Amino acid sequence: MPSENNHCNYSIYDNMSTKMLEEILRADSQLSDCEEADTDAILYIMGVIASREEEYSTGRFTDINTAWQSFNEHYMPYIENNKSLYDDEDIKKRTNTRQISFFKFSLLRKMHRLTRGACIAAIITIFLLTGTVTAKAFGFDLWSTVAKWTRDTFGFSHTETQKTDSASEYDSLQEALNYYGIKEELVPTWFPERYSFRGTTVTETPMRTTIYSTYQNNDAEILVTIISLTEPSTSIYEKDESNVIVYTLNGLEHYLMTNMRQTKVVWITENYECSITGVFSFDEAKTMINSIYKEVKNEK
Amino acid sequence: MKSKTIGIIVMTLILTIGYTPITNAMDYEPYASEYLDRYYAYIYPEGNGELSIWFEVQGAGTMEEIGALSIRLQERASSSSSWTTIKTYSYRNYPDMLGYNDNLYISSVDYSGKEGYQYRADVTIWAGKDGDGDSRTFITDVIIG
Repeated sequence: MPSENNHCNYSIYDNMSTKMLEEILRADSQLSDCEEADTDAILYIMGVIASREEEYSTGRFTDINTAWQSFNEHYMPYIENNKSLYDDEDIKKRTNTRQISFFKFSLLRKMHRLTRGACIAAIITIFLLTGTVTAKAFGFDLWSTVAKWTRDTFGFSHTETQKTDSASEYDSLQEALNYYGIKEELVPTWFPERYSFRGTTVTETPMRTTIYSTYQNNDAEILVTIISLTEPSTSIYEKDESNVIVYTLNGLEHYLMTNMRQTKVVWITENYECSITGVFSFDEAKTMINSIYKEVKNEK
Repeated sequence: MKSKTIGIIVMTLILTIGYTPITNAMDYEPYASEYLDRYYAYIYPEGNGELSIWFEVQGAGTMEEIGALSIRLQERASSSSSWTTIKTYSYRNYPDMLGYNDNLYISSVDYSGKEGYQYRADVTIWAGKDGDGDSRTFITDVIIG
């Protein structure tokens, strides 16, 4: 089980990508009321981002003069005013209902957040002074890639037993299936020659046992995943705009689709959710599917 | 004067920090991912109100970072119509929520809930490499603790 982190060891952030650090900051800004913010960690992360920006400027935080001018023009005049920068009507014009709710939640009722915000503001001020970022640029660009939502995904619903969280290694996918007493035909025996077997891992959780093998060709991979389900459940598969091709074999529908540069095959049989994902052609996908079954009864 | 200035700066920052992701989420809807392939999450009632929240993230190949960024556990009494976020798990406090240099990552967090209450989780998963990546947010099925 995950445990509380050692808050004093911030060196782990040094090796993380800038985008990852930005995601952590975003997650921190959305902590619930009962969660304590680790201000030191946030300051450390922002320092890492600032130093990287200073060393390798991305051009994202350059408009300091414009932002400072905007701040003086739009916010400073209200400094003697005891109300918030925007009243509700202003916000309705600028945002939607969800944003208004967030505004009220964050600004008007949660005073302790101001303390955390003050720390962030202090860092931003430092950034301003060092000429690396502006508050406006910071707010817009830093979080711009967060919380993307997808429309075109692929999913199943289904049914399964087990109750641990252990992971085990096996010499082959079939060996793992044999160990778990799975007798269904689920394992491709043919793979593109350019790929070589890397390993099989099994991870058990209370409602799903995930058995997967990886085949590798330099940076390209094929991942064969077989999930034993004990309860109705749904995996979400990413896919692009291309159509799903249904390849029926032995009465089973295998769904072929693409996700950017990857091809995937997804199918369900009994209480097993199966997929083959990687860089391969549709023809190779069909050959892999054919190799699963000893006897091919019908094909479309 | 000084405190008001800081207050205004704070408001400005919170406005920009708080609004931008939501706005961008509505403006930009990708159809696929170069980093994510498959994901799933569920809450398992262990009994006596104990819960474990499991998530599984499969990358589009081996990812430098893969797992969940945050899990917001929500609770609702059977007589209530509204959900309340009772616990937020962040990768920052629960490092096991993220794996490294892997193509598939499975992990969980625990919570001591109340028997008979309903629970669901708002899960944000992530996969990234080479300084870029994708996140998705979705909600688990509802279970009774």
